[in-house]
Amino acid sequence: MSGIYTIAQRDFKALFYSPAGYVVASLFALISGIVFMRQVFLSGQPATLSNLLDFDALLLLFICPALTMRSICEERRQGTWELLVASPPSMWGIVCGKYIASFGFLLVLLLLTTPCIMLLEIYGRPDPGEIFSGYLGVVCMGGLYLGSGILASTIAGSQTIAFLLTVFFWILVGLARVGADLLGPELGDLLFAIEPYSRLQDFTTGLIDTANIVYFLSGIVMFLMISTALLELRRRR
Amino acid sequence: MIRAEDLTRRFGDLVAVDRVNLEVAKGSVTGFLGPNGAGKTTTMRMLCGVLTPSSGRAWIHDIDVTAHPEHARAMVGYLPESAPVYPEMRVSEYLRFRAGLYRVPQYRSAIDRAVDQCGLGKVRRRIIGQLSKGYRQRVALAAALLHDPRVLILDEPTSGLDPTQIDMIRSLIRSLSEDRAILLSTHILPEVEAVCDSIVMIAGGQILASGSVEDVRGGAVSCCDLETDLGNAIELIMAIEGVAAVNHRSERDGWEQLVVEFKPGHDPRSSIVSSIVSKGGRVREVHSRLHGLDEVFRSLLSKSMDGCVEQSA
Repeated sequence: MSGIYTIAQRDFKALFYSPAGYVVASLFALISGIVFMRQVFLSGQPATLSNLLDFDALLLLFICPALTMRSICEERRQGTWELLVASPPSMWGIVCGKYIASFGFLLVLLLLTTPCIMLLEIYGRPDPGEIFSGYLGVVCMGGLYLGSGILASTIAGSQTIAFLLTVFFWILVGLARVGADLLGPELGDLLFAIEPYSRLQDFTTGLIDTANIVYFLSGIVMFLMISTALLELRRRR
Repeated sequence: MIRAEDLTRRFGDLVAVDRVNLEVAKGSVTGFLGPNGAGKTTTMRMLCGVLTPSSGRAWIHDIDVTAHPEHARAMVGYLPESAPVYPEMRVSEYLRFRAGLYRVPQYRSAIDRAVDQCGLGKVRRRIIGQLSKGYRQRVALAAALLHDPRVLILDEPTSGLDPTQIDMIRSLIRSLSEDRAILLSTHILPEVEAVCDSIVMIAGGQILASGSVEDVRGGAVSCCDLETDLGNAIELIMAIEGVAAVNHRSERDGWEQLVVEFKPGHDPRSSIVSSIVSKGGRVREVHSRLHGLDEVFRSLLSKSMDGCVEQSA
């Protein structure tokens, strides 16, 4: 456990070593603020953050892969991966440590949008349950993006490929949802079951369904386990 | 402390390491020699747990590397070839990170000790990326020493260092070897002679020779340069016991310059001189040359290459 914490702590700090981390966080806060002022904070509008959170989830489709793209393939490029693998933490511990670091950054990003909640509280009567549920949904969605990003960083030889692989994967999943009706009821049902966007909408409208939480958690664990298995395989082959 | 039995590693059809056996005892430094692509780094990576062996077994401090990889890895201090470090971190911050990975209990004193041992006192607050290659190498070495490992595996630890730093690292390695087993790979053969107690020579994934430095060097032919004015000196010298070959190098003002190669374990210089003198000749110079490890290594390598050619023919 101590190894996981050490790796997570280092990788989390590494996101702030370069200006890129600050730029990403500032842009996220700025764009979220603009969307809040233009789409949510209007007189006569219901006091809900669902529009903002839906938009943030879309932004995270691009931010999360950018957070994870470095995590493994950059370590391999600069040779530090060899030292990590030669140290006592297991491969699962290393992968989890890297995931926790990027997840921590995701939470920091979402914390930056909390002034929107305060404004909504001052000028309206928002439903706290719906806000909590919405944030939980975005955290789950971001967590899933991060998990797939770690897997892409494991497979890809460069950061750019890792980024593109993650983004295009989720765009394809989204497109499959659109085309699901054309593919017949059985395949359509299957695609509907594996895509996360309708589940996110449940969260942002205030519905916390255990099945949705299990879906996101198992998706994240699956991505991390596949990453670990591939890295172990690379050690053996 | 380090033991490998029939350690083999394949990458697809390529056999990178082929049934390597080696043993490094506590208190000794073993030099791992071989040309590029010989299998040194792959062997070291298997011993450190970075790669899993295709077959064979290895033990670190009697812990099976394959059966208990996490325990075995905790016993090893590993310095990879390129001495990788995180360039964006400060030296002290990086060492704290590495101490955390190895769960070093009193990490502050461990960091102070490693900084002191590797001469990093002046740069411990500096960003690693701004340091010279030599300092980065020393940071990587300090990180390998942090958890006071019983076994050190060092892949070219002095590459990129200036002569003063090389001397410092060599004496550090010697002092560390008192209660540790150290396996050290290098291309610098004088380094092996200066630091190592024993040698393992590897090429094509197979061990060519192993043993103490004296044993490995002792198996090689020594030679001497000789200058004489005797006309038929070559035939005369060839007849002397212990002479393997005589080569004519040059002739100047009636003096022939010869290179006389000796058979292993023989030193017939005095017999050569007395034979020449007894035939009325004179000797102007006898300069003996003990073959260095580099010559031994080249000779073993060419023999192994000849073997490969014969096998493929």
